[in-house]
Amino acid sequence: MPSHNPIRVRPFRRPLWASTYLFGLALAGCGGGSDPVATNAPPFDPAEEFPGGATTSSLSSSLAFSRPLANLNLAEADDFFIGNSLFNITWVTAPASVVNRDGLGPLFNARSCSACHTLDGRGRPPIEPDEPLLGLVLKLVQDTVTPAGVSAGDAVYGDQLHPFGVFGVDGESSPSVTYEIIDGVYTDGTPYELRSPIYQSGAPNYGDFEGSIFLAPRVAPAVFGLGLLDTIPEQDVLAWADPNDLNADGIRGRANWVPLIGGGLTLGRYGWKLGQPTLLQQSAAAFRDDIGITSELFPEQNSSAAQGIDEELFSGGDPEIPLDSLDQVDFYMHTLAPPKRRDVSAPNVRRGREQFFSAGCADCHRPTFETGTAGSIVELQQQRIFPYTDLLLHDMGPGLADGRVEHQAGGSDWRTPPLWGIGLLEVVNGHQFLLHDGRARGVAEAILWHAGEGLAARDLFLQLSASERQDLVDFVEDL
Amino acid sequence: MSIAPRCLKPLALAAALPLALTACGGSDDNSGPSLTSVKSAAVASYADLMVANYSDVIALAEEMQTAIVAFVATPTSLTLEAARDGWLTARPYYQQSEVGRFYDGPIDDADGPEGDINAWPLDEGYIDYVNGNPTAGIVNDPTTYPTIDEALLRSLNGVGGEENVATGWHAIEFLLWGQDESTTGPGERPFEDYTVNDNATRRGTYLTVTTQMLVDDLSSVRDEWLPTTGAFRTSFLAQDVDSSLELILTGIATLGVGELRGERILVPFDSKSQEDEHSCFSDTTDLDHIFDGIGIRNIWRGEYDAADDSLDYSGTGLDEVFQAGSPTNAVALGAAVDAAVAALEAQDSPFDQAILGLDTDPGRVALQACLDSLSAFNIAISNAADALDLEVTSF
Repeated sequence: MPSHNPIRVRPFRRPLWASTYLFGLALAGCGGGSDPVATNAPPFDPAEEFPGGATTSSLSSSLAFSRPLANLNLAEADDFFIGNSLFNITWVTAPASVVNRDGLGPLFNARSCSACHTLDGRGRPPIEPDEPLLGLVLKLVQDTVTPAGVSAGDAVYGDQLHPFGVFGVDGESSPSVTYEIIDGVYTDGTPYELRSPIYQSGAPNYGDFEGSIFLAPRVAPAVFGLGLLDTIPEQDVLAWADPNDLNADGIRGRANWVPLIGGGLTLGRYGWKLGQPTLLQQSAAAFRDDIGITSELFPEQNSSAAQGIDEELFSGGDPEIPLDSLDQVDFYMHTLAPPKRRDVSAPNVRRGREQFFSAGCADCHRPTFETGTAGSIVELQQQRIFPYTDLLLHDMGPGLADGRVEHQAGGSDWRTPPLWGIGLLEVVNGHQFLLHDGRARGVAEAILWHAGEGLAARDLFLQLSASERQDLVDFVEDL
Repeated sequence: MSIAPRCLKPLALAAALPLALTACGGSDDNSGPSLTSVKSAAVASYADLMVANYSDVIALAEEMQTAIVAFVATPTSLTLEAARDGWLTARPYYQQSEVGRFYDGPIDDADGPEGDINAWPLDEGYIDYVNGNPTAGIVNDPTTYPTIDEALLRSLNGVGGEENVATGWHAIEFLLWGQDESTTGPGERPFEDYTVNDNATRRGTYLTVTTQMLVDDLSSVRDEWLPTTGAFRTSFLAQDVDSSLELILTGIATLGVGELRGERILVPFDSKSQEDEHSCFSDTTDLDHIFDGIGIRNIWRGEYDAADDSLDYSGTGLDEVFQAGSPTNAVALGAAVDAAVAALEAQDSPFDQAILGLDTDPGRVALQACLDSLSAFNIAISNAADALDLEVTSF
């Protein structure tokens, strides 16, 4: 099989600020190692057991990510159930007898939201060599940035690869992944292995990709707790931003300001690079980009004229999902609760908590916020929450870089992902593949991939004893 | 005031409520111990009732299995009818056992088999041919899946989307009835699907394998409730009695409110789509709803009316707990349970027709009454749990 344009690991030109930033990082690397005083853990707060405050779900089973806010008022909750059904339904090829669920594709990554966000949890890369790509998408990326502020895609294929087409329409290609093993050693001499992914596009079915295209993989993240993140006051996020690293700790959290459909720039809160401002816009983009379902927000289909696909033939209406239904999905996205912690008082978990702060993890994985009073869902408001994210961008170094620019997010920038619920991934989704492309097999490997602004913390992790490392992992897995 | 079921209320209020109620009910000193003993009796009764209910279901599922094996061995319209009867007979007793869900108990804890037993809605084309696609599904794909066995079906269940259901009650239902294309009756799968039609042998294997899995899964759940050997039962009876009561109440509240009211009635009521109804192939969705309601009433009364009379059970119900601890709420919650069952029993059949039409049409009026009665049940159980200072989740 011809190998067209395999992913290029760091093909993009580093932005100008990078050189000054690297200088800052080098300084902080020294400072961080010798001065852990500033990162002592605060006293344990019993509220930590309930990461979503009064919204927290009490289940630890496969339904742990699928429960509504525990304090939700039933009189207002009907849209939760209807939104849930829209999240689960399998979209079919139009025209079909089931008119309110037709319009799939013509090109698509998945037939339903839950295909990738299974049980409201997290997708993963393929495990078997011939397993189709489901649960993550490949963005098509060039070095150039469009006037809209994002990396240009392919002239024919657009900015996302669609492996599947409806009956009679070819998928764009059948991508696959292999891994290169990277050996490493902890300070105590214990060896470890990391997997570095190599994505192959597979033979393209609509002519060659442009020569300068490379692939940027993104797994589907878990979708609970998002309403709480939505309700965090903007100024509380910005209070942690330190774009010029004025405190010289090597960490420059930066906000992403992204365009809102309808006008204006808003704080980005969603997506791997904080590229989407609202859950409604994020959901509508995913419907169009991933399933091929158009909406008022994204009325155009996801194929290009150059592909010559008869979009009208497969149209399920204009738009394919009405705004009412999209609003119900939006309500559902706002009202999935984070799960309760399981073993908050166990000695190993408490020791791991100390390690988490001492190593500096909490400098980006910000433990706690209080939600504000914005929005119409009062149950989300004024809750003390523990998401372990700062909702800011950080340069994570070349090893994790995908080269894709999204507004203020550069090619090696990523949002600090929330850590709540991470210990239940195995129960809910049957795997623990972490990071934006699922390359890390568990928490320890994910930490070991941290570089850039996370390098100092990773280096401290490397220096821990085996039991200290285990404690830290145990703490994260209790979240 | 919020009717939110989870009572994370300020400490002062939490302390004041039960005091005020016990003051009404009588002296603290005398009512305390007796309430505690009633609670313990109710918790023990619940465990015994679960054993009776699951044992009953297992026996009925085995009778269904016998009929299915006979049908696959000798497919005729008569043996197909007998297999369908087996499903129809067993199903209402399984529905009653669903009160054991939603609290990380044996049926749906981290390694519980619920997803393999009763997952829905089911995308028919994942299993077998559908109208417009004669080669769809696992049955018709011997190239990818040369051998249909338990390991394969377990590995495929739920993969690639929550509607990709490969196993359990609804998979069996689809394999026995086929798609429901009729406005008056259920699906009409021909028995020839198991004789001369494409992949007949594979279809028969699929049906018998998934039936065996259902029997095995039900048995594994029942075993966790058994006296002496049941691991879950042991911890359930050993832990603080209020903790176990909270699980029992959360089970009936979540089944009635989140699952039955929300997922099973509200969603198809809103979409008017047969795709969203529970047992769409056999057209028995209304019975599913009714027997979920009866299951809730069983726990309230501490009674189970078994198909096998020797398994009939009568013990201490939740009603006695609330009569001892909060008589006013006992009356209100008991009335709400009875009203919900009455409303569910009054819905029209078949469900896929009852959801259609105008909100003033009789079918939809009756379903709106079901929704309203379950909302009232939510308020009643939330108030009752508050009165005994119990934390209960209802969806």
